[in-house]
Amino acid sequence: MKDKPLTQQPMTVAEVLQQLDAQRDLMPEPAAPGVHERATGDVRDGAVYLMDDPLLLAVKVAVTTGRPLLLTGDPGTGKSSLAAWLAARLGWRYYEHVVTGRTEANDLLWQFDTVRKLGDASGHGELADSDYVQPGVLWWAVDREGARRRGVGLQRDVQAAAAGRSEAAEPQADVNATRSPHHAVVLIDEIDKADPDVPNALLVPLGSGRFTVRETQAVVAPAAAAPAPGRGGRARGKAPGQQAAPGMLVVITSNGERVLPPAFLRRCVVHHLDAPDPARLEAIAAAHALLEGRKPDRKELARVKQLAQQSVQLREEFARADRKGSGTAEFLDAVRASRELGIGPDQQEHWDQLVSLTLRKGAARP
Amino acid sequence: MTQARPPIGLGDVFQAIAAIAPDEPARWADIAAVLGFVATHVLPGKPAADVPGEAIIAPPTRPRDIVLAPAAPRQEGSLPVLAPVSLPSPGEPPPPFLVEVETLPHEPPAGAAGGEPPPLQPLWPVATTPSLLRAAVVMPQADGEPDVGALVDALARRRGLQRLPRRQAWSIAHDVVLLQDLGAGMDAFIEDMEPLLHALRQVAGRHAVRDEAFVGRPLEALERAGCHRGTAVVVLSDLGLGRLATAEERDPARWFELADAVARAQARLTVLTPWERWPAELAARLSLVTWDRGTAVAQVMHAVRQHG
Repeated sequence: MKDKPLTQQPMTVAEVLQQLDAQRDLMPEPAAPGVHERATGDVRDGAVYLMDDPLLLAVKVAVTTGRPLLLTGDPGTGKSSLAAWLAARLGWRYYEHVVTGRTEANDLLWQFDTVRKLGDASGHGELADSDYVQPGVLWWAVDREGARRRGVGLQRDVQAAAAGRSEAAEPQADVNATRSPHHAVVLIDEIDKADPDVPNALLVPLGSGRFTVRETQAVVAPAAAAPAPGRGGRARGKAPGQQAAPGMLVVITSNGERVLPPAFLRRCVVHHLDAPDPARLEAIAAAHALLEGRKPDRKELARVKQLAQQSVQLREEFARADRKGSGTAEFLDAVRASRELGIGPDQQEHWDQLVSLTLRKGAARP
Repeated sequence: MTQARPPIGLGDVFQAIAAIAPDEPARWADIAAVLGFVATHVLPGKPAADVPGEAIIAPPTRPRDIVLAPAAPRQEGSLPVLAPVSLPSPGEPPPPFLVEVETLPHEPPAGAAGGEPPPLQPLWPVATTPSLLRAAVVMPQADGEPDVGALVDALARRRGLQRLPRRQAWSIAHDVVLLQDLGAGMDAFIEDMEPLLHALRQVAGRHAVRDEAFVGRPLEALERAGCHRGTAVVVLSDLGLGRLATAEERDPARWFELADAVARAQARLTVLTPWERWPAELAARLSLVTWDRGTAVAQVMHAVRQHG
């Protein structure tokens, strides 16, 4: 599906809301043959997303207030794929960071490659600290050009800063090349995996878009012409919705493995995504078929219906045993496998095997 | 100095309403709810009885819309804003506003249909138990990433290094022992032990976890289970702090000998206890963690690393 055409002007809140309303019910356009045929379930290309009313409202509230949108819910409910879809539909740049147990708050802002600098120190003369700065996703979202220069020119004392020699490579550069320079969507995925201090350490950068790179003293802040990352342009004197949209929409996901700090939660728009019911799973499968340029026949529709029901039944069975069931990605895998291998519910043995491999994951009945 | 944005407030609600649905009062409650507000304010001019069960938030009122009612004459001795309240004398019937209260309909708790007892709610929530246990059974590893700061510092001081300094890294122990106290003080928690053992096996691996029960002397249970270098020992116990504890269970020496044995083996000990407070002498020697619904991962990590 084509991205929204690049706009050189910052969007207003009203334009963003209008765009969201216009895009939400659009089914994906059939892609060129081969483009999406090999895409498997858990892709984040932003091509397909079915958004319900409560989620749409949550996104709108996050945009208008400039607050991070925290999505909670079981795996496979569409938390992580929303951000890429929003970015594609709005024509905003897209950055993502998957959090692990070793993630530190700085990883989202910048990293400094001390080891490489130490290695270079033996063979070079004066080294530029900025050459060893690797901007993180929030830096790219707040100030793309500053991130590209690794902060050169942003130092408090520019005279003292040695000129950098290399430009930083932008994440998702191919996707972002044609998107708005003024706005970005940032996905911070699975924040509950991080050390409990990480969310609190992000409060200032998320709220103000400002932070200082410790090693180079570069002060990162929204570019002068860009809207603030958290809040759009000042609403004073402007009709509601006519202020600039936030420069950065942050979408954060959590599987609820850890309780997030209250101070962090109080600054987020929080929305819980329920697991899709059979009808919704069927609609998702239909949207993917449309994206692949196919019109499912009667047999495939029957297979999808059966898999959707079994997927939900299995999820409920697992939930009763306090276990996580399969999500949308696994369901789409099952649909694809059944179609490609020509396995239908009438082939009982093969069908059960397919369900076991894709939805039950080989687990015994809970 | 750059500061974090303040928490979400009414300003955010009004900002969102003004941009999203200024002319749709029916959606204002939804917007407020998305921002975490449970509003109880009733729309002006609309009787409370007409308001459906959902919360309604009033629109921002412009100053010119406010009409102040004439102030009631103030009686001498009364409060300026609250009318004086006269309470009934003993033996008199209570006033109507204290009597005319509708009783809420009886609703059995969820899961209690058909007279069955409600399902057991484990002490630690199912969703957070794996993270809590992971934090409880981590062990410091010797193969963390190089500590570049220490390395550069040593080089700058022209100090020779015999060993590469490494940052402290933690990973889940390959060997875990769970000791379950079956003393009288733990009777109320017997049913919580099995789900915890099950969760522990999911976190550390079925074959990595050994469990033993004890009454009184945890050291004997540890000796039966075995304890080696790198073993994470987790104990479920009330520490003998309850009224039902025997004299032997109240003796802190049994915990000291357990802590010494674990330390000698270069293993690590964490005690999960239903109590929230414990004697300082125990806290000084043991990593103590409250085994209750309010326990946070940060608390477990703090307790573990304090003695790590």
